[in-house]
Amino acid sequence: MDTLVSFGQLFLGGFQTPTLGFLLGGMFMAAMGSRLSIPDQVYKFIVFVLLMKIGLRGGMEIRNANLAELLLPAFFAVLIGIIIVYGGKVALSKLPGIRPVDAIATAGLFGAVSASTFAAAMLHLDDIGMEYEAWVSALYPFMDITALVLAIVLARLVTQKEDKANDKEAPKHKRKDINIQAIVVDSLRGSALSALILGLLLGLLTKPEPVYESFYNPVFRGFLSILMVIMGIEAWQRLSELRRVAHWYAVYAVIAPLMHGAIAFGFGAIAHHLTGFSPGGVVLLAILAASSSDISGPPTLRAGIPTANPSAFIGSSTSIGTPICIAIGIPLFTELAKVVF
Amino acid sequence: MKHKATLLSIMTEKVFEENILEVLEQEGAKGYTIFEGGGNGSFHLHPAQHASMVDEFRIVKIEVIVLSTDTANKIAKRLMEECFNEQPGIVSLSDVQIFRAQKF
Repeated sequence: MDTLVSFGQLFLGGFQTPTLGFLLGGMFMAAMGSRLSIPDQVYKFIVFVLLMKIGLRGGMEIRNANLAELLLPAFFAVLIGIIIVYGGKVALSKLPGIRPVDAIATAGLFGAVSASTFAAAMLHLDDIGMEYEAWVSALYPFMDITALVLAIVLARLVTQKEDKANDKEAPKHKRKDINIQAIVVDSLRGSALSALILGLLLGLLTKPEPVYESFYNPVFRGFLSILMVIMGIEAWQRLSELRRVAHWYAVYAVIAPLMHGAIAFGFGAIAHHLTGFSPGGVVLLAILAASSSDISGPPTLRAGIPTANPSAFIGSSTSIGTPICIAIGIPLFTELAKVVF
Repeated sequence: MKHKATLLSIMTEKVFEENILEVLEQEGAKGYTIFEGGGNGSFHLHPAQHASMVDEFRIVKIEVIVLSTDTANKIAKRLMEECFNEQPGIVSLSDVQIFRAQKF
């Protein structure tokens, strides 16, 4: 009961934190039809700075970390990515009015990782003073790329099967074979992962402490709040797209983040017992799983699964998945960690 | 001084641009112009104005002028078969008159 009360308080308090408050503020302005807009370039720059900050800190910490500790969580991150995509495909395909490729693309996006949600979770842990390994950010690509690659491969298999079922005479145009390496390279070259990897490398190989302390760390909080406003506006605008597709996507988008987070939390707890993975680390792993990509995932999936309807997968992720993950996921898994560990 | 030529206009999403440019280059197009913009399509809205989180979904129009009608038809056919069998896209051909034929 105490836990419930404290979760309730935390949840209400959460509305007043810059993260959630600004997100809802952005949604509210968009709902009121405000013409408030923040230029693309600003948005891209902010994402770059946030990921550099996360990467730098991770890199600096990896220097002193025992890398063997990273192996088990990294393996779990890959496993979670696979479970989310398969689970999502199976669950969504059973629902009425959902095409298999759309189901797979949506599951792929929910398996991929949102940099902004992850940043918000780190900030929340800093605020409440829960310790975590900064190298958890290095787990990002393991889950992200696994989910995207698997989704694209599964979608390709489905389209091939449909072609056969429709007994199309061997089409004159050959469908391009899937090139897994190309998808991985493309994901790594995306702006989000590039910034994170650059940060990790600079943190690992150079001594960026002065610039980290004087610039990246202090601006993190403010920049994140601006990003939240932009995401709030985007979430509201994409909602109209989501209305054009089956309503089951909305149901999935509400349940999936929390369920994915819970699965990852379980794996994190195993790592906690086996290798001493910190409770804060477990929370961050849960948030990696709960979040759904909103920057780098959509274009990769669009290019890889062109027959999938972007309104379905982006709508469910940006409009519902991300706000749910930030508003409920982050406080929920933090509280859970306090209770369990 | 004026020469007859064919203008190919190709509309698609930015994320699919690369494959198309590949075809154009293979078919010997000497140059092309890319315009970015917004619009509305059967799949979803492509807002041109507000900060869109994913700018790869912007609509692009690629224009290329070729002298030979055969080349234009061949490019159009290849695009329809190789790119737009599952990706969204529109290809149109129009007759135009150009100067400086050596440029095309």
